[in-house]
Amino acid sequence: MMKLPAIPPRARAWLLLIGVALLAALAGRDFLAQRQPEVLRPSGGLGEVRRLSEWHAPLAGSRGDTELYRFVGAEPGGRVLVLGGTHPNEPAGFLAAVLLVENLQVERGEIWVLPRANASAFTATDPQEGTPQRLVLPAADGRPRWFRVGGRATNPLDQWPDPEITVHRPSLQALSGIETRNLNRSYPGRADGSFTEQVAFTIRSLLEREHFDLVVDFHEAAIEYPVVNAIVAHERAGDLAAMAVLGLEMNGVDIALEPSPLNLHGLSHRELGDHVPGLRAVLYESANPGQGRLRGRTDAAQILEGRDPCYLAAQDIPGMNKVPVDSTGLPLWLRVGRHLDALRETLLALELVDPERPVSATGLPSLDDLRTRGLSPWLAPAP
Amino acid sequence: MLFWLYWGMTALVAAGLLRLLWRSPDWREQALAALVLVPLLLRVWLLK
Repeated sequence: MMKLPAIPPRARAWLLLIGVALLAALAGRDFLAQRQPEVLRPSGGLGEVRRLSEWHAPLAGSRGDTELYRFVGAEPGGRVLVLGGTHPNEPAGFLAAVLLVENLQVERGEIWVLPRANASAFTATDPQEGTPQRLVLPAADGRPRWFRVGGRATNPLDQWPDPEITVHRPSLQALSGIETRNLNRSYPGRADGSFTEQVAFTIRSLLEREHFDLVVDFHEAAIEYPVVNAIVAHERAGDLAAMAVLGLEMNGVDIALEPSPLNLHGLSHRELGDHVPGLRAVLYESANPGQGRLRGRTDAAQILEGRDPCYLAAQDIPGMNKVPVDSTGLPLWLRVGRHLDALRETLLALELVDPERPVSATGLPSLDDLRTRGLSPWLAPAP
Repeated sequence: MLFWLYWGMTALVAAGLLRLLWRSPDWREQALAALVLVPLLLRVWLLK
């Protein structure tokens, strides 16, 4: 048996306690860093910053309360809400919203951006998924900026425990237990419901009380998921989404149009479309190699570069990958660019279907801009 | 009831670990006790 030098047992106990406490402090610092939000640098076109809790006071002071960026054009028009970060484990959804906040110049109408729709889910990664806590990207000045990668669901510290079976309200549809903390299974939400239902209720109240015309929800999905590289549209937004898909296809962006399933409840495109009068609701999905069950090692490089040897191998299995995968991967700039191009086409389509409520904006990079220059020129320098 | 059961079990485990840490002549047992005891107490302190 290995023996330490003769230290009295009680002195040894104190030394061990101090050593373990130091280890715990280091681990704790790393853990608590998850709750630190990155600083966004809104563009000069910003009108004002609001808080989500203005539409549901009980959210104030909770981790569900978050910034809402309002961009107002010089000319009147319609009103669009963009949701990023509904699922913070889908980085392109969040980064596309960040690029909006930092570059948007609205000309007609208003665009409101909620980059951290489920702000609580940014404060914890999903257990056993091995996802990195942060992405680091060079900003326009070449210096690094970091962005959080969170979990799919609300932090369990904000809503616990999960039931065996989640019962969605008001449809009474049964879902698996963990979906109780999934914002995109909690719409239309309830004012006195769970934490996540209250966040959903707040977003629905915002849309209803401020008379929005369109809500766009930025997402990503696994490569093997059937609904990927797609626009999912509520039936009221079907014509709008079809025109956007046509516009994207004409520009060489391969994208599908998916009708929002009538019997799959809790999702933004279904419930917000159903419960907010006159609202058009769409959701964008891009293919994220860092999210599916087939993926290999999950780290920041995989998320940024979008390359995964397991998905490359899966390409040989007919029908396994729903999006073609090759050695160039599906990089983050491509996934962000798809969302921004889709938004641009959706706004053009909105003007066609509702000429009296146009919304137009400039300042955003196109997919080709991002292909040639990457994300960095559109990320403001770190504060 | 579950609340008191939780606290009772936590206190019992903490007392056992503390006894091991304080009295064991084997440093490996003491190290193990410290490695479990500190996170346990932190958990109690942080989560309550």
